[in-house]
Amino acid sequence: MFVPRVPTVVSLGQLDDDSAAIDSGPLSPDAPVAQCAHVRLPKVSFAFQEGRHCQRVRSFGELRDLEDWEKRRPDITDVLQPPTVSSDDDLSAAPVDLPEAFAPADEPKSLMEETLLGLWEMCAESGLFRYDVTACETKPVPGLYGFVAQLNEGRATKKRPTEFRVDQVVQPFDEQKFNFLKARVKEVLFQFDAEASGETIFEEDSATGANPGLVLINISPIEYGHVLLVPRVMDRLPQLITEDSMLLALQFAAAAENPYFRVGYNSLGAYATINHLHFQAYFLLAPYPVERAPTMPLEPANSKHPGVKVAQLSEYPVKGFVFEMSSDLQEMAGVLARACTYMQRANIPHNLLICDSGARVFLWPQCYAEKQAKGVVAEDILSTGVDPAAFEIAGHVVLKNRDDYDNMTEARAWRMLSEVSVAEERFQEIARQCLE
Amino acid sequence: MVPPAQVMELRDAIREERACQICLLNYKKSGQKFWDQLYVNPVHDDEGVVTHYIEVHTDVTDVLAKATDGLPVDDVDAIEGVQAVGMEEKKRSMEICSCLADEMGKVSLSAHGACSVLPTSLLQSLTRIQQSLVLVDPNQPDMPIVHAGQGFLQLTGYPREMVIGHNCRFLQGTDTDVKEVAKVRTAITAKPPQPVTATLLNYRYDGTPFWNYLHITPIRGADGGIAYLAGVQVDVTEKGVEGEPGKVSMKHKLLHSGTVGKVKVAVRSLAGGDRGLRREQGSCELPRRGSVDYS
Repeated sequence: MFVPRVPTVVSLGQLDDDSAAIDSGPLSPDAPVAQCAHVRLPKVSFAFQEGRHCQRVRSFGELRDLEDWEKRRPDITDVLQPPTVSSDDDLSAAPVDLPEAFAPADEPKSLMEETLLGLWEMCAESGLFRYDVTACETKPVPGLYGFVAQLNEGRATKKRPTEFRVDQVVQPFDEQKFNFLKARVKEVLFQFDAEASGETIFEEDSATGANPGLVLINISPIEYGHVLLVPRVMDRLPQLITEDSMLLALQFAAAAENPYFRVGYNSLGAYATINHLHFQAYFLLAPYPVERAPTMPLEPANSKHPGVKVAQLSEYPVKGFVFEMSSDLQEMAGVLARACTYMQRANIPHNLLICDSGARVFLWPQCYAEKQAKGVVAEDILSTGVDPAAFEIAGHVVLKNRDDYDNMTEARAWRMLSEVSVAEERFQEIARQCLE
Repeated sequence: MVPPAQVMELRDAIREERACQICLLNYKKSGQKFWDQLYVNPVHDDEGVVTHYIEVHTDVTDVLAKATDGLPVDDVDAIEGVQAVGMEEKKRSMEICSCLADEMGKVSLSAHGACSVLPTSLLQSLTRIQQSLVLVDPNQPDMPIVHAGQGFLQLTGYPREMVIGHNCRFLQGTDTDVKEVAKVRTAITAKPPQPVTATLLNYRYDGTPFWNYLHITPIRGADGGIAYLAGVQVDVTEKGVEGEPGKVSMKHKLLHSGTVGKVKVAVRSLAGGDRGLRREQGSCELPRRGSVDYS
């Protein structure tokens, strides 16, 4: 099953037809990423964040500042030390630690966020992006959910559509097709790997080793700071989630220490166009509609992984899972990887969005591509040209022409996204299988 | 304990600079659990900068129990399904906030609009930037400063009232290199303004000189036009070496571009008319079960 698509150009490597000349000198900015082994590149080594007890106080501010409420609060049946209170009242004086909200003067400093934004801005000044995304009109769509619409005519290209196979989530890596080894070194912002010391550090110039994880710019950005995270680039991994790569993506979200920096993933068949393992991330200073949606606890019960709570979206056009971490990222990565592995084996296209600095992850199975291939999607939805990948499903709709942008309403966005969703019965069946 | 949806609501309210009301599970001195209705209201100084948040807590355990036929006290999930309760309590909280704000001599946002040249939501993001930063309005005659961060005031020693509304040239003095100044002027008066980096000898309020590694870049507004110029100042004076600036490193350049990046992310949230990416007044609450029907 194939659908025609004009793939978004995310890398300079997709624009050039000739390969860069190979030289043995210092790494040229135009050299391909394939030459990035055993050279020197900037590096952000993140402090590996293991466990924190979120206890449902989500990352309002820095993940590491969240209190471990299970430890602090007295057990209702025992008489333990009460929390610090004022002497007058019966009421507690210090209910919730919400550092970010209540201390506007204290900027939570994230070295990774600063480095990412700084290097991204330098790339913008060097003219590496195909257009200035800050010049793209953007607006909230009126309504309770707050869909965000953007008019982005520059993202589309005049290239002829290519046929993409949409009925196979698992496809082998193809050296001939575009992959990130063909991106240019100048698109690389930094290496991104764990650091033993427990403190995030930035080195302007660090040895890459044989197989770095890389953060690259997306030259057709949806928003400011749009980057691509490619784990272990030399391994030529196809676009498939593994526990290791999931953990790296969660660490990436956590390292920004900013709940407005989300990390997304699209499987093949769910609008990924590059079959080389990568995640996407950018800053949007507003909640996504899906982050506002109510949730319902999901049966079966989640006793198999007590550190991760699984719920189902309710009152949202695309049915999906909501994973909420309450103990550690490693466990979260494991649960998510198992769910994605099931979908990969069952050939179900899916999208994933990491929110709340890694504490909350949405996972949606989808069937839009199948509907598109069968020709059953309404013409007015098709003509918007919107490919519903992770960020679109979350509620950030990027439109290619003025009419669609001006006429976007919450009802239209809802209708468009409803086509993406699997039906309720199918969803419950998937739930039974992938949460085992 | 705060359910994630309520945290979202609180974060939204802070970002949208409005009051909000959430319910969380809290503990009394005795250790007893209760439902705490938390009403939060920001207050601003006359520059429009948020200086405080007032929180009013009310025990609404009984009110909720009545509304939900005996809600178990620790059923945090169930709270999401409960419609807005405690309207009386909310009104009382609002009155308390208003009185407190008056006492503090500040402006409560729910009562007045904050008066400032910059949209207050932008101000809120900007005040959190520690690096020395100014925003200049290139569309006004003589390009006045419209925002000066605390970092700038600390670096230069100037009081805010002597900075806002003035052109940056007050930092120049007898030994400032006129060629460097000309380079900056050429770039920022070009149509459209161009990014520029320069190292200038500047003078603090008390007359002491310092080397200002300066980066200025245009910032586009919601309509795609140039709304501001952002200026980031990094002190590169080397201790004991007065005649020359210290060596400029990647760290300094990253301070420049990282700060500019944060400003651009903040300004993007203003895109889309008067209210930016915030929802309209009538839609400022969380979706609940059954609240929308697009079938």
